[in-house]
Amino acid sequence: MKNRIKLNITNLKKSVAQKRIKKADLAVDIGVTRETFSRWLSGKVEYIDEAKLQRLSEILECELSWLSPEIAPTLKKTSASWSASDRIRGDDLIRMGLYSDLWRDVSNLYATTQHPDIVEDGLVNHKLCMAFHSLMDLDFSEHARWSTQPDDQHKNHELFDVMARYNLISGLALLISGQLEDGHRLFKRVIIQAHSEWLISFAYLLSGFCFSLGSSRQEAMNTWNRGLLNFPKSQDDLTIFMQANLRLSLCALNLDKDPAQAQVELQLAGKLFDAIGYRYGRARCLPYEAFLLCLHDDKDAGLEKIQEVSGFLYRLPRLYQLEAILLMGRSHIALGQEEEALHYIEIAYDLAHGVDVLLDLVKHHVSRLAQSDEKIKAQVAQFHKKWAASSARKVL
Amino acid sequence: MKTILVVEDTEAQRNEILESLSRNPDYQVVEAHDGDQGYAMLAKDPKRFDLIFLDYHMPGMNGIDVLRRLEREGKRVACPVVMITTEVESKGSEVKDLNIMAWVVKPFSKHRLEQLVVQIFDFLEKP
Repeated sequence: MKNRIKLNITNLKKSVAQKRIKKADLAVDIGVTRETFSRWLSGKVEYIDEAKLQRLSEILECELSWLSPEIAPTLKKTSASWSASDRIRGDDLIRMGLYSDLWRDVSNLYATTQHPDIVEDGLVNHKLCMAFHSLMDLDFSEHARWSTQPDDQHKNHELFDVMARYNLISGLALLISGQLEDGHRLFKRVIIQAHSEWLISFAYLLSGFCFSLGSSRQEAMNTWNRGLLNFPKSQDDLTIFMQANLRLSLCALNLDKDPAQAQVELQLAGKLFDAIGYRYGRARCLPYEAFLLCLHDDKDAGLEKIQEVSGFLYRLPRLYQLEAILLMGRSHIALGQEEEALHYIEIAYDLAHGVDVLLDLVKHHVSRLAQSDEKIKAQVAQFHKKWAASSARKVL
Repeated sequence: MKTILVVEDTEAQRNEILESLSRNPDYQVVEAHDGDQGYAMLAKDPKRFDLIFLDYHMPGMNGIDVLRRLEREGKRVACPVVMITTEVESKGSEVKDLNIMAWVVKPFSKHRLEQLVVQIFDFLEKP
């Protein structure tokens, strides 16, 4: 919870007048709206976040105690204290994971630090990092450590965003275990409760996957398009990352029925990844480019792209490997190269092994390919059989 | 047809919300210029509205005061409430059990507002 401190309105007015800084500029500098700043000056709002008070004192070049009757003039911060303004924002923890792709390390660093105040809302963001790690690595063996029960206990609205994060984690756990409707319900809650733009965008993305995996293509498309409508001008890199994923998902959905639209979505996704300098942006887009080229009978260019993807494939997180492999399989089908296609389909089965929802995804994906070719149909039937046998062993 | 009440004292903000919501022909949007007027409308007919947008900071009664007063008088609002605020405020337990479904922190985009309303009605129909 943010630390709130009472303002000395009279002294604040004096300092603002002395510095001759425009109120609008001051508001921007401390990160509030002009309206909020006016409410402080008028006394309508008497309290301020500690971090914002600190910033005000720096800009106005005055002591904190001058701006607040609650701060004693002699108060000095010691190294042992850890105020709200020192905390690492929860979203920065997520950012560190995103840009380093060291989700587990970021998560472990938090867990082993064992200081409750270093990261804002640390526990839920730590769990989010673990969930991202599981997702990127397709490793759900530690699922129990990060999955959580839906949490609507907090009615304090400062915690609405925290509540939304817990619900997103729970929804993701349900999605992975194939409980699509229950997962979708939780994502709807997140969209309503969350304050963070990226969290809302992520909930739209996952909600669309619930529809897509449930074979509701049109609903998935509508959901992803709605997700893109919310924050078209966002400057937040996490939100832009989610928007890129929404675009890429729309691209994937359009590959068969509307390749021209898929191309548009792919280009937009690429631009969004570039805008935030996402390390895997290019690698994510390349397999889609390969497939679209193969679809348009541009065999040489398509194979060249596939070759390029093969060069870095195993350096990608397993989630992206699976995405690329499925697309490479489809590219070979488009070129009439059944043997190569079957090779990739088998790898896809191996990657998805043990995660029912992913196996369903692969099965669904290759079933469409199998419709066109008897040989592939027979081979895919064998893969299904193998998968069913391994699932049965797992149950025993 | 869904009836939405918007209680917001800042004219520009109120107009922006009204403009966004009025684009949907399925919504009938009613406005109140401050907490007192909003309270009066809700007290007169607590079941009239399907959704309420309620500004937190208003002269006279603030958003929470409006809801608390209605509750005290046995006219607790039955529909969901979206609180609008200029920043994340610390009001803790004060907001418990007031049917508040979401908090929107200004500034927010028209699209987010429109989508939020769609999602809330969708959630109420298919929870």
